[in-house]
Amino acid sequence: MSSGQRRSVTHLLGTSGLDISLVRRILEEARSFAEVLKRPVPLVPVLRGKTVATVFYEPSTRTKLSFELAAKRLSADVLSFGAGGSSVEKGESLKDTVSTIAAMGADCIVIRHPDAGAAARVASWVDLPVVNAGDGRHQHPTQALADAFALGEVLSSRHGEEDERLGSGPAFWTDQGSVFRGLRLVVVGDIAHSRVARSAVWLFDSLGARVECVGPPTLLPPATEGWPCSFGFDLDDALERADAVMVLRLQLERGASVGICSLEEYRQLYGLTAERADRLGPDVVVMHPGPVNRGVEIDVEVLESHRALVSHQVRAGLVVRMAVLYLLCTHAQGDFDASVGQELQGIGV
Amino acid sequence: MSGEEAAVLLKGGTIVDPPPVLQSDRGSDGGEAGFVEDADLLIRRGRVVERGKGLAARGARVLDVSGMLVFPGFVDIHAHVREPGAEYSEDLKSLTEAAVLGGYVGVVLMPNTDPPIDSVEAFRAMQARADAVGVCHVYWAACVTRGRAGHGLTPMASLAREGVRLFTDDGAFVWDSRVMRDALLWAKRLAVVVADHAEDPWLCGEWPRAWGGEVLTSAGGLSNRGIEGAPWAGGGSRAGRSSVASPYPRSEAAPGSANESGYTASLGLAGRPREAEKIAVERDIVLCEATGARLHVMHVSAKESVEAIHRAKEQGVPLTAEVTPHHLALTERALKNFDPVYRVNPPLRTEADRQALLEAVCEGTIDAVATDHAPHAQHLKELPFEKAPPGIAGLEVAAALCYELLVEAGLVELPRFAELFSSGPARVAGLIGNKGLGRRLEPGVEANVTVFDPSSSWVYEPSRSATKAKLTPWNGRKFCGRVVHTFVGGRHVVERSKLRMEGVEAS
Repeated sequence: MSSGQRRSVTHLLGTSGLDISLVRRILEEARSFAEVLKRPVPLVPVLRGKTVATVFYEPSTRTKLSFELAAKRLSADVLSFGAGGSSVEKGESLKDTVSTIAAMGADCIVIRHPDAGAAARVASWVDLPVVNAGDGRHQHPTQALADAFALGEVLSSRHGEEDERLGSGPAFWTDQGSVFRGLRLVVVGDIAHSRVARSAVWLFDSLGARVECVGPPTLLPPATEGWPCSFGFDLDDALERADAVMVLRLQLERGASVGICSLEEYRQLYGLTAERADRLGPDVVVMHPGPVNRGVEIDVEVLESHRALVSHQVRAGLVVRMAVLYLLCTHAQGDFDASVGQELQGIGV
Repeated sequence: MSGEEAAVLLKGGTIVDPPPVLQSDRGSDGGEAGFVEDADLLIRRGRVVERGKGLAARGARVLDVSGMLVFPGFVDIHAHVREPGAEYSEDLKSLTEAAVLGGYVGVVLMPNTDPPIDSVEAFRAMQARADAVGVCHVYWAACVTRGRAGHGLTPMASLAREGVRLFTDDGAFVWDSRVMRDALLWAKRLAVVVADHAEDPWLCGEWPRAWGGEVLTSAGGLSNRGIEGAPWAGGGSRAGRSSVASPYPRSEAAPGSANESGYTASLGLAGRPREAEKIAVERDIVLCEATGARLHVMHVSAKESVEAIHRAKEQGVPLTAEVTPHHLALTERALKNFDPVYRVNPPLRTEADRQALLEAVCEGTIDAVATDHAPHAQHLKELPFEKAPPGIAGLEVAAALCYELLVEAGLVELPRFAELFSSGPARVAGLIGNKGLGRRLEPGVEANVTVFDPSSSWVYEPSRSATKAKLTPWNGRKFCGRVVHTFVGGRHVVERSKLRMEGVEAS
């Protein structure tokens, strides 16, 4: 595996540098899979005989279940791996673990890991398509794609143009461009530690939205040059311009507590409280990637209000992951090149 | 190691003279820096015996070095060996073999081994071991603080009497300013050097050990295990036990592993900000000025630190500074695939920083190129980026790489290159004249000689390298310019870029 000819395989490692035509393809495939899920038997045989391995080194409910259900809806077999109770506890390395899984004949590896770049490393070690299901603070691309899908459904239904071709509701792309063009998305919370924020910033920027990240100065990235978004400290100010709000979970396990004084102060300044939500325009929608710290970054009333897309996001996650698995396991090579681990950078001047 | 070498005549090379450091080095040519083309050098009984044009062989073995550069042997003042503690990553034999292949005749070894070199007993044992197995001159540095814990000075006077010339807690900043001042006060009295790894650990997300966290160890331990459980005391390493309650909240967050920038933030890597280096450098400058001791700033990586050092030197503060080949060659953009071969402390920074370092090398703010050779076994560099220990192995490529970046690029002249690799580092570490290190190649001087062929192109292959660190940024890289011969005290240890077996006489 270390040398010789490598098969050209494609990966989904992040949303930065992802070709917009590919994003469109994923979202359009996802729309057709949304139709599949409305059938009495919500199953398609497109990945029959293939094996999708889910390799999770961090706790997860929705992402792991979502990938596994997506694989099953595509008729793939699922090899489910959790670091607890495995040879990892005997000290087995990530490289050995994924090499073992590859040797068993998996066709695709879905990996979640606490370290940034772990998915890229796995992609360099195995000759299989790799999907990043969250790597440290780096990226969680299918979450952002799910959010785009959920938001796209809301926005396109407002535009009201039926897409006869797919017969699955209004299209995200029309002759005027994408429904995301000009959308003002406010991402609020612990941007510095959030892979969801990174995936969203680059994805929504490429879709034509204007993204503003809001949070306490200590939880914004310490340096931001090259980020395709604006930054602010004042949530109330940002909300005046928002079309959609993405509320992030305060990731206490990744060190967020170092940057804030108290959870109560955080809630007062950056929580999407019921009172703040009441000031939002009627069409403004609210997203949260879950799991929620209720009463900290968002109030229960807001979560349960008509503007919350949370369960919508979960459904969108399923169809987006079906689309990603389907495309990665079956696509003609070359499509995903923009997102693939590029060649090692030349050394020197 | 022992045994008399037959005489060798290096024929037709270009002998390069760095600017003289010692008065006695004002040799035949009046002591100016420069180079002499088509010159011969006769080595006999471990010393240079004759230098000039058209020398007769008189029974000496003749090596044709025409077209090649004949330098005073290179000295590396910053190399990490993993013996004792992690010999699978590098031992004294593999390190010194890598050193001589890279043209180094002497190395200063960092004391952050496991256990660290922080006592007379440890120093004696490891110096004896190095003298027994090393193929070049080896000088152990010793720790500033016991166990590299950041407090509690080592017996510096006793260690200096044993021969230690350089003290450092490298890998960790001596963050307690009182401890650092005490160390410098001793250093001044003992006429030794304190070298500091200038990076503020708090800004880099590493709680100093004394407050219950753990700093990096030679084996790359990165855990914050020591801060588990309230109230932050108790856990941690043997050396780090402390009754001081940490004011820091509990965090599982990884310590900084990359330059802090928008780019690395987009990669989700926790940062080691440039301010961390500048703060540490500025503090060291203040203490250096106050004590008048010899202080050496290791592996300068950021533009602002270079500026601070430049300013201090202009004001006459007696400090010196080094730069590594990897900081001269690479930037944070190398991290794009998260390959941990590029993980190093201080981190690879931006192109502007790299340019500032090159400029500082040209204008003299930098005294020496030092490799910070930090080898790790393959399995340690096959971990995810944030789990892999920091460090780049560079002994075998440093000269070739820097020749390309500095001389080929037209930034420095040959005598300055010789200074950066031999007399400069020897002076920094207090080794000038010790076994002839850093001396110009004049009759009577011990024959420490590095012959470099600037037109030889080659590819660095880890399978053929001596270091045990097989994953490096240099694998497969093509170099133009190569160390061909290395003489250590007259012993011909590298011949035609290969290790020369003891007692085997080449024809």
